[in-house]
Amino acid sequence: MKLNIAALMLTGGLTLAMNAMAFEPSKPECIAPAKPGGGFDLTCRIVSNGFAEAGLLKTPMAVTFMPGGVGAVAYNHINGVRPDDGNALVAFSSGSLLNLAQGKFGKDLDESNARWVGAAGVDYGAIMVKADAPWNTLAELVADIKKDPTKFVVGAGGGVGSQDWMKAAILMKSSAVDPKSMRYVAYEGGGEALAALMGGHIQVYPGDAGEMQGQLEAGKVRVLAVMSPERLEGEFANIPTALEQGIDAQWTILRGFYLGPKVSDEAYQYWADQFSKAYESEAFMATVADKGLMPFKMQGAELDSYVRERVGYMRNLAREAGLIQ
Amino acid sequence: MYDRILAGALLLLSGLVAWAALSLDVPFQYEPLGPKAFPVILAALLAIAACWLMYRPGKNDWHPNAAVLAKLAAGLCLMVTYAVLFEPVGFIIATFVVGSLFSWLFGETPLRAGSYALVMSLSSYFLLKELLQLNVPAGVLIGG
Amino acid sequence: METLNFLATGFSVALAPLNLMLVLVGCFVGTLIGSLPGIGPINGVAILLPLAYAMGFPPESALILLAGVYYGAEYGGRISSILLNVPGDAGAIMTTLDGYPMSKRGEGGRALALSAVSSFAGSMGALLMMVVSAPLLSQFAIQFGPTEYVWLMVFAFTCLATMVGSRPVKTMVGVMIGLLLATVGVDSGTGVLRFTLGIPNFFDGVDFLVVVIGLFAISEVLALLEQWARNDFVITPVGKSFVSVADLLAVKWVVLRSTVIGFLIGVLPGTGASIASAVAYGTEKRIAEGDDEQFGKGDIRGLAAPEAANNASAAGSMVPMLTLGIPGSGTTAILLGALMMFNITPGPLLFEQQPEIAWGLIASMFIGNIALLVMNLPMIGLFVRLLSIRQAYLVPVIVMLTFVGIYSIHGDSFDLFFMVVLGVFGFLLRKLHFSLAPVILGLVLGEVLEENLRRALSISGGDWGILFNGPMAYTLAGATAAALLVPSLWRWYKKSGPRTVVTGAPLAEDD
Repeated sequence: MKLNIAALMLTGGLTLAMNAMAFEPSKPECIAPAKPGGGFDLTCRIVSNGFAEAGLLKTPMAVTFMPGGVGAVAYNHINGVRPDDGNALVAFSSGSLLNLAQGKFGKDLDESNARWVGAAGVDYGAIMVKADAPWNTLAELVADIKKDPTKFVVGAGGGVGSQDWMKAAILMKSSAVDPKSMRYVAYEGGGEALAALMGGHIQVYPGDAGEMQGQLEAGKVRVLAVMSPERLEGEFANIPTALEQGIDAQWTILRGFYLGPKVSDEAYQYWADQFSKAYESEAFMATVADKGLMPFKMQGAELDSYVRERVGYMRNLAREAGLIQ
Repeated sequence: MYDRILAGALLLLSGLVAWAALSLDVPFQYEPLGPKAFPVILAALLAIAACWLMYRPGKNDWHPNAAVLAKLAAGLCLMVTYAVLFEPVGFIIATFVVGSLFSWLFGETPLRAGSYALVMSLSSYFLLKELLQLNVPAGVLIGG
Repeated sequence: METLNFLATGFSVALAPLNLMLVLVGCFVGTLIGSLPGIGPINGVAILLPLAYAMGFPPESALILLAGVYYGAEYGGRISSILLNVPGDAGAIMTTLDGYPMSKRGEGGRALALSAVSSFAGSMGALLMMVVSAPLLSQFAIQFGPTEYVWLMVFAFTCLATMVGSRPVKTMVGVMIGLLLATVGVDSGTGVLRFTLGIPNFFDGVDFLVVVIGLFAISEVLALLEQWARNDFVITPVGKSFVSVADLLAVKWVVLRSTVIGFLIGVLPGTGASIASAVAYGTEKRIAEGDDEQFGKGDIRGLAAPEAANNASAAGSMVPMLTLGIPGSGTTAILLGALMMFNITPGPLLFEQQPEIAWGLIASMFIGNIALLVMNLPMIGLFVRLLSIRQAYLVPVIVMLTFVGIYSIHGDSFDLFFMVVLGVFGFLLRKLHFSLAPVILGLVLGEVLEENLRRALSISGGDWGILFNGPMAYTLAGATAAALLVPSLWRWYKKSGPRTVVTGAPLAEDD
């Protein structure tokens, strides 16, 4: 670590000299706040590979790992150690935002302690049941749930207060069922929850559309609805949205990047511009699709205010559910 | 005898665990069991085991003499020193100092212990840092 | 027949020169990484994953390289367990019980060779089972619900308590301490912090490696110091001992049974090599009832059983990963991440849509295992020489490696202090004839046990009756009851004869 910081100070000095002109990262880096192979790793690969393929990088971008608390460790690190380092993009997801909204990143840190700079892409929630389940539409399922909510076991890959739980709670709320009466089982990750669904241990799994890519054909699981504002494309084109079925349950999973809170405006603008250039590049958008995400083109100030608004919305949801005071 | 002391400590521990678990502040609960029950069950089982151990302790056959205790204390001090030095002073120096003292503690002559530790710390630094890319603190020698 | 065709395709992929070279490199690097205490397969795979990606290998080649590292590291982990009493990873904990006493007896070569052969047999057996029955097994795996998991854990702990160490009550205490350590940190269900004492380093829980290295390696250093002070070093004879045909014949059924047990447990998501080796060890000790005095003192059966089982479970954990996309262990979780990085979605369709990847990987596991055996048997003589190194030179290296290994996890000195504290605790437990393996197993499995208990009760809405529901639950509950009762019944039955003398905890052998 010492060595890294020393190196950063050195390169920091160099960039300072170059800042007289326009900002140019000397040692671009993407911090994945997880272990190798996880979701954040994939998010970082989108910029490191996608930018390279779109010809937007002069020096290759390194991916470093900083696991802990769905991004909490990285958020604290950026704020404490290198708040003004314009070289380091840090990956985030709606899961990180949700934790941020609930104050899980530390009492003094909120959404204003980062500069949200670019989106990688989005995914949407999807309500799934076993392939041979008796419900063919979301409306049928909701009607049954309303009769006796305690008969249904909802399971997903995160604890109470996680994204998956929120999806379930939103579904309950929009069907006028008290989320507290729902039987919810938390698994370690979506894969385990999917297995529990196939094994019949849970009846409903509010997962992500992206993880079903390539699995729909296998026909082990039936997707009753996607939680997107409009119908998705490709293999999901036949699946109706929840909204179409009269249930206002939406959940967007955003994946993107932020910079430290004290990063210079030049550096922030540089990265925002890189993202808007990337969105124009077919090679970059192909990388996004490869990683199972759908396009979401938003960068710079627009993204910054969007993220702040989302965090505010999530804070309200968490308050309603009694997760925070 | 030692078994009884340990059993007493475990009994105390189980009481503390149960108390800490029961006084956990759970802001919301959406499941029947919650975070308290499992530790409380464990504490109860631990308490039962500790009582049984207290009632029928094993025979003790460990009788450390002064020489043994001195060596153990020395080794422990060395390891604590290593932990203190490791990050601020860096791997190479910390390993050299602690390594040579350990070698000396196990009967090597000071000169040979020192030179062995020097070679060991330098070669393993490059092996671990460069080849295995492990996070090894460089400390004061390289890069301040 | 079709399977054979696919397998042939797989071998043609795995035997391509580049892939063959990669699997050999992977096994070699893996063995080296695994043999360093505290640095295990997860580190190995995690270090090489970005490298393999950066080198631009085709996906099947990269995966083959990583699988080689995985296997190599699993094997390398045994070396420090047997020679130094320091398990390299969770699967190697039970290996210390009989492996270390053997090497203290001067049979290090025999122990290493036997463990190599048992591991090889376990892996190969498990791979064969996998080829034949993967789709079927993935069905078995998903039938296993929270209730069944709870019983499996309870069964494993019962096996342990009645079979390891000097007195069941001491094993129980060890398990409880391990289970309690597992509850430290943020509770995944509610986000409540438990028993962290306000220390941020505990928020994410107690790290498994810190506990293993502290309890085993640091306490071993203290034990060596004590021996030095008492001047009763037994100079370990480094004989040219090697495994004999008679040894292999003596353990053939042990290996076979343990392979099946290990494979089946490995197939279950969330349970890995640690529980597989514990159950296999317990089963063998139970089967040897009446002739089991040598268990824990260097019995070849007690070494062969966990070795066959943990390797079989490593292969077993690939089944849910490949067929369902569900990782069965920490390392397969990383492999799964690697697959996704190469845009391969494991799942029911992998075998149909990308057979060259699925079968290439399976074939490379066969080749990797053969490579490991061929590579390692001649090197055993070299490894055993470790024991002839004077303590004055060996101990500094052990201390250095443990500190580097632990520091590199989080890059925080706190873990070093915590490790030393645990080392002192472990040393005292050893002196009081406690076995340390149950503590580690409790720590590893505590989370699985608690989570599944809470899941089961969430499903039932708080009704404990769910634990007595379904044939699989009854079977496991019955097995637990049997494990509890059979030893006492056996003793009662043999009351006329001489009672089985149960002797000292294996880890306290050295005083």
